[in-house]
Amino acid sequence: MGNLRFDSTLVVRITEDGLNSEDVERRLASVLFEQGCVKDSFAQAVIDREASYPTALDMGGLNVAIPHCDIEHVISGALCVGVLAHPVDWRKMDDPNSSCKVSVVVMLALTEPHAHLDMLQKVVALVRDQELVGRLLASQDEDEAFALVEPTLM
Amino acid sequence: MASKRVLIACGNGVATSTVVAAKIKEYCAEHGVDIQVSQCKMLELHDKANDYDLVVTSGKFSDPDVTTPCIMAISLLTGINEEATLDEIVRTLRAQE
Repeated sequence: MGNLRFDSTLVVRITEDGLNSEDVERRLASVLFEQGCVKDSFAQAVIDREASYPTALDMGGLNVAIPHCDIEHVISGALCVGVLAHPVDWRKMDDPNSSCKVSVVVMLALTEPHAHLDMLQKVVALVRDQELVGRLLASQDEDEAFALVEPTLM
Repeated sequence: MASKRVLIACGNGVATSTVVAAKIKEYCAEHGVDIQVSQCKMLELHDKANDYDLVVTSGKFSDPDVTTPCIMAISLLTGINEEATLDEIVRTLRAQE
């Protein structure tokens, strides 16, 4: 318990333009579903949660969102990292009436409340490392992106 | 003196508040402020907040029925002005002693 799965199959580069935050959430949730980490209810639960309590963190540069939902929609704990070639407008956690451009999305599939602290702190360390986020955005494929974030997240 | 009761709230009470709680516990321990921390969902604040000495949230919160001091602590996630927020938390708790 406590450990969250994260591997190169859970890194997604999204290159299309014109997507919104819900499109991105559905894409990442479908990867977690295909990998058997979450139930089919997970995607909608994340989207509904985001509507009430958005998850973008305005880092004052390369911004990040950390969508997640209640644990009942999760089968086994995992992280899915989305790297967006075109930043997407995302409503801010601290002020749902405003939004920022998000470039990296770390979707959290958690199995226990008030737990996973070690992994969550690693996610926070990743999003704070703007130089690393910049290199992540410049990566050319999923394997390269995974290799960049692995030392921080694992 | 009795330990202070701090309630930390985020959207689900699952993830964000866990990180915020850890940072506050560590900082208060370093500064000799004895606290007991609980986590909840933002939706639960209306009913729970007044049972605590301090409420810390990840997002905007206002409720005319809540008289407990509330501090917004997005900085503990982003790292931007983090020290100022932690200092405000400690000062708010010490002011109640």
